[in-house]
Amino acid sequence: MYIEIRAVDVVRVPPKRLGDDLQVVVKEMLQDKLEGRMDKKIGMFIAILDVVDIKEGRLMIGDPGVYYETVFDVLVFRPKMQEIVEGEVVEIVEFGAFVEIGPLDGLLHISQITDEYISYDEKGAKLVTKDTNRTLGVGDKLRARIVAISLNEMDPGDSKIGLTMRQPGLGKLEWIEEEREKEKEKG
Amino acid sequence: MEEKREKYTKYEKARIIGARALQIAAGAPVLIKTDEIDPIEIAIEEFEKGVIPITVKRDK
Amino acid sequence: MQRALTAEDKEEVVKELIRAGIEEEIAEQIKGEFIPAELTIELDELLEMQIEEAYARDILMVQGRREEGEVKLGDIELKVNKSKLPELIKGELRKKLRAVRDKLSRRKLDEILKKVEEKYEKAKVEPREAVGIVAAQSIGEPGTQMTLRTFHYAGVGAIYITLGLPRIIEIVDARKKPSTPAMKIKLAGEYASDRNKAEELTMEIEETYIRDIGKVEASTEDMSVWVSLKERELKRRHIGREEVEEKLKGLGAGVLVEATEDGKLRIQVQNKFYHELLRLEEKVSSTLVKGIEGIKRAIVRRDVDGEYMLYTEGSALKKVMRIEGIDFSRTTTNNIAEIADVLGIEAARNAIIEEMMGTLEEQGLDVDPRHVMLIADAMTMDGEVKQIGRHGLAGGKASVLSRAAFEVTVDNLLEAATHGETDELKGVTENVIVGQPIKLGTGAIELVAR
Repeated sequence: MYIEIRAVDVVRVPPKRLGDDLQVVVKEMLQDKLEGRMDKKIGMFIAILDVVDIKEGRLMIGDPGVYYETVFDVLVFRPKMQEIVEGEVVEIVEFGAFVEIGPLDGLLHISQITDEYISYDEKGAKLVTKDTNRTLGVGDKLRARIVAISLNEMDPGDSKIGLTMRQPGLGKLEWIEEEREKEKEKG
Repeated sequence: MEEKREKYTKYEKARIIGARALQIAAGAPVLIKTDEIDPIEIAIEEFEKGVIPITVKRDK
Repeated sequence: MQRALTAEDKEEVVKELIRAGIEEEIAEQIKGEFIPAELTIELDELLEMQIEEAYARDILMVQGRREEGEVKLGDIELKVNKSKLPELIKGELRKKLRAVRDKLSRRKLDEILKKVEEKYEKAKVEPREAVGIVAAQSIGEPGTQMTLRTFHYAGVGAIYITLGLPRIIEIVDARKKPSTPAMKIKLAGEYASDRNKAEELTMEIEETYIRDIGKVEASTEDMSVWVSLKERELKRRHIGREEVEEKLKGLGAGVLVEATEDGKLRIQVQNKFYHELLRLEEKVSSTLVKGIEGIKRAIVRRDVDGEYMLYTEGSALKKVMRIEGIDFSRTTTNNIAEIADVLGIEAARNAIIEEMMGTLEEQGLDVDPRHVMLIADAMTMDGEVKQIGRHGLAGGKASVLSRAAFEVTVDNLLEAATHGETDELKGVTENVIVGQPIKLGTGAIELVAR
């Protein structure tokens, strides 16, 4: 889920930028420092929205930079357990599908796609259900639920998010539509 | 009009000029017109003109 | 209401001023310049006013004048009061300026005040200055020039007093008793002006034992101790025979004292044992007849003001202060612990300063008293005299690292470890040890970007 939060942090303004507009420099420094960074509690910083306040700058012995404590609004991507997400399949592998659900990809394990048995079609790079012959390939859009989160602060790209679609109302968007039609027919 | 300037102790003065000289040496824009090239000399000149954007935090 | 003052009026003002406690000389000067013809208030009113007020009123009159012209007393008063100087310096300055007033112009007065203020500002210690280090160096360096071992004259007679470096060490170590205790006793009233009276006092306080005034012999023949008093000594020290007899009788139960016809005193031993006899002999000869125990010798000297005073070898402040004829408010000892005991910690602080400055000056060393004052303050700030060392100041420090760095490193660390102590890293030494900037000088300054 994307949220906007108000955060406080200290940024170093390098001496070369001392003459420039502080508001601009501080925002840039915050962007350099935070954007793309991951925090286990907060989530992944996407974009600095607005610098609200800049406190007085501090100078340290032996460091020509100036350290400013600032208050700012930032857009954060924070995956939550049991959260329903929609995304697009970006890769099919033997053991499941990788789904892009924002800045991070989630793994939809082969056992979590449907209640049916599923086989891996290596040539077509697709996952095929045994009875209904439904397929899941790259580019398919789907709806899933987050069931596991393991964020990595050091290497955000290495963070792991586990997904499931084995639940009514979840699945590839077309399947959901089909189900709905069926329900209607039944009346 | 004479600007009302804070009075600094010798230690405060040394620290301010030192920090400013370091900034200048590291590429901070100089705030006065001067022929000097030595960062310390420039910092001293800036201090005397009262343009250094640094003050001292004193405990009350 | 204005009216001219007559000469008699002015006289009356002067009388009134003197009555109010103004020095006659100053009052005369005030008459000359402060009470001008065009007095704007009634004389009665002026006299009714508090003297300070009257003074202030006169000063107001001075204020209207121009820069040039002669300096009046009010000028000095006004200008000095306005200056940013501490009261003590103001007082001294006033006195000195009054003395040279006729040579001053008002412009010069301003210049002098400006110079004094400048000098005063310069002499002040700036915040964050490492005063302790500077004090240590300022006493340490001249200390290298001090004589290492001197038992010097105190400049008077044959009384020896430890001086030089050993004395400084003694003070700083806060010894319970100096190696050569001595007193300077000022006298009161006619004792101070009459040499004979002063000499009498020396007899009064000098400790006098039987052995000093007579011969003590133990005779195995009759198992008695014989004391033959020297007439001359008795006279000189104003001691009566009966007095000695009394003292000997007070030696204890079972001691038989009798005076024989030839002027000797016979003291009999109860048990007729030889060792008892010897012990009695010792006891008799060391019986205090007169004076104060601990005062080995006292001599009369004339001080710089022409007053007679006493110097003593040995010290007993409490007892000496009780002696009549002594001005106890000006009487001191070089035993700092004794002063702390009798007169309190502030007096001890002053004694430390006096003793150290005195010792340094005697060696011809010029040390700013503020360094010594800092040491005295540090030694006395807890209400008791503490030595500068492992059993005092340095040992009482809060920081483990700082203590370990000073002396007995391992003991300190082990002790701290067993007690689970924490080092807050607030002091200087600790931060030097861990390699952080110290909170002194430039290191204590927090910079903020504007």
